[in-house]
Amino acid sequence: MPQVFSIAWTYRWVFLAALLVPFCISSIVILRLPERYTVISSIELATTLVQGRTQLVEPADQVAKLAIDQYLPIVLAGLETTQSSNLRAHAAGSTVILTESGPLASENRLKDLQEKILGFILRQQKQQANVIRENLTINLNSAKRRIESYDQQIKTIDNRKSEFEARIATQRRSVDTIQKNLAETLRSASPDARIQDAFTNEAKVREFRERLHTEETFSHQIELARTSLDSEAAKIISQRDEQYLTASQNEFLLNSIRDAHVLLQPTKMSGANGPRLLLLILAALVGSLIFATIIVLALGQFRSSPAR
Amino acid sequence: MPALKNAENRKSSGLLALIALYVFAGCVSLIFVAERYQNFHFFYDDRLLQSAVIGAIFSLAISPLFSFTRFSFGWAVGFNLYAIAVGYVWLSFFSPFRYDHDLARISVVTSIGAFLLPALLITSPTKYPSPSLSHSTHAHILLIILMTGILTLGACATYGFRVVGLGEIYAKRAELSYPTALNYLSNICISSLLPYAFACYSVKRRYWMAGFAATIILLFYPVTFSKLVLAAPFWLIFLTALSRWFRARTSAILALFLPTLIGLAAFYLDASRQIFGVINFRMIAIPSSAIDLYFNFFSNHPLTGFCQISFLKAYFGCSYLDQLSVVMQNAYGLGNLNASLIATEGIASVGLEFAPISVFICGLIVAIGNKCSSGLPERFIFISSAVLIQSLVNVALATTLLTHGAVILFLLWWITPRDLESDTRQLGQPEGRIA
Repeated sequence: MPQVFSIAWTYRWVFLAALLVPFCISSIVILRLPERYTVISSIELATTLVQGRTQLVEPADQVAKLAIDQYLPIVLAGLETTQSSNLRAHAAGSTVILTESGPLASENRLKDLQEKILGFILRQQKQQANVIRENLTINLNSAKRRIESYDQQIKTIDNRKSEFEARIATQRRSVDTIQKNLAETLRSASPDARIQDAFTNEAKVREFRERLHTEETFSHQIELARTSLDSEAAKIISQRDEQYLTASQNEFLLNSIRDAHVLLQPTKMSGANGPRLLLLILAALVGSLIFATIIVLALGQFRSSPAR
Repeated sequence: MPALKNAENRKSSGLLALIALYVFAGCVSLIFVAERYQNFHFFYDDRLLQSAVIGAIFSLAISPLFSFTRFSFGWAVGFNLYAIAVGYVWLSFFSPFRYDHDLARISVVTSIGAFLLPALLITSPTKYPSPSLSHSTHAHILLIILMTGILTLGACATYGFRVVGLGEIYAKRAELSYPTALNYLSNICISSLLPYAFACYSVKRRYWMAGFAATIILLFYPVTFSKLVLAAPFWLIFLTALSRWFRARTSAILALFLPTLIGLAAFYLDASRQIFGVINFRMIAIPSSAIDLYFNFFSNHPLTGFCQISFLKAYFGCSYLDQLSVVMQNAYGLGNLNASLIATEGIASVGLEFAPISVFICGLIVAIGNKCSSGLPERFIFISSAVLIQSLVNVALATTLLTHGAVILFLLWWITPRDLESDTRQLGQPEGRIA
């Protein structure tokens, strides 16, 4: 295969033409491309805490999709413009970034469009955050009401307990009195007492013992009732504590909700045009060089073939 | 002579058809890769197929350059990088990352075009003529290379010599702590010196000695735990066999095309998909995907300004404390991700706008290899550069030149006798008798 450079030299005019014509045409096209720039804006989406982790109220991908599929047509219709839009929205963590490239003349239109879409996103995010807030507030109020109810129940139980304690004390005193009377009766009963007196004493003793038994049974029942009240009180206190926890958690979640906010207002990005233009010119040059080389190499090969 | 020209015309169109077929197979392969390796950011979407096909066809416009230029080191490197670039153009349409894909595609296609111009067209010999070494002196040099390989292997083995399975190599590699000089020497032996010796002996038809060189390369596996080292001897034998049946340019294309087809067949036949994973995913798809990752990373991170080269880092400082491969591992968690010169010297160093200029300079450096190897048998250049080219498609040019010994290979090519193939008469004869 002959040397490439000697072929290029042999067909130098063809080479030059094949190099310069496409390069000049493509350069003119590139240089006549309208000056474009990019308008960029970003919004940080609303977040809430779920199981100890910060979570978006709506996935950022979904919001980005909504921005293009739903809000953009509405905004375009509202702007009463026939121009289409190449707005792009993409999610990056908890942020949605809006970008759009356009010609120099449409700077205000692009900014206006992005501002309106940001407004839509802000409103929609606020609505969603408010739904979560309302739910949490309902839960918080319900927990607070339950706590009040439990407090009332505990108070009632405490009153009943103090009543029971008073009655237990009365019962104890009564039992003590009966026991004292019984002891006295037993002491006064002498072996040489008359038969009639002996019968009377025995009847008294029996009566005291019955009364004593009755009083003791009653005291026991009161004790049982008080124990039952204690366990009921413990149960209610535990339920109340649970409600305290629920209330404090809801309060914490309520405070941890962060509303969406605009991080970057629609801004024109500068300086991207120069290097981009250079790359396109470079691409045109390399492409033209390759085209010219292929043309002369092919020419060299086919010209020297006997079929020609 | 006219018959020869006719044959040349037929060859050119045949080669073009072969490249087109390879591009088609490569794109199909990437569809299958996307089916299995989505966690490595490979995706495919039917709706974008039309755009991707147009992109691939547009990339094919460069391919006539390959059919009209003769084989050289730059040709082989250029074709491998071209395959990576076309792979990237295809993948970019399904890329999940957010950067300017249109501009990135223009940058990559311009870069590969800018690389191919010097790498394919500058093939004339150097100003300084090759020293006409006698065959016996050259034979001594080959023996010295083999001895260097054995001594390096022995030195590495003093730090441990263990045959381990492929699953354990990453853990074992992390434990390696060779002195820097030994590290460099072992890489140079594996990528440049021993493949050079293998190619010389193969061309001279001294197959036992070639086998010996290949065995030394294989023995480096238990000390380096590298898949490339394990595959290198078999790769060299495969390419030697290919180059016996086909011309160098056809062999270079088939060297990628046949494994791709084998991998595609294995996708259905091999349930474990290991063959597909090694060939179509690791060997073919990863270098293209690396460009996508580099574009994404450097679209929102500072450029390196060539500070990935250690001595430049020492002088000028660098935004990155770690090596680039480690930075990419930290960013994407896909392992230490090195990439070809398009990604490293191009995108990472100067950004997508100026990448074509940087890659053009890389093409000029590769053209030095063409000049040094000018006049040598094409088959010899093809075999001796086989392992080095695998390094070039996976790591930066600067790393290949210094760490993998490309500079030494260029030097060896320069001093190699141009009538290497005529030395086959030495078969079975003592060296002393030739003179």
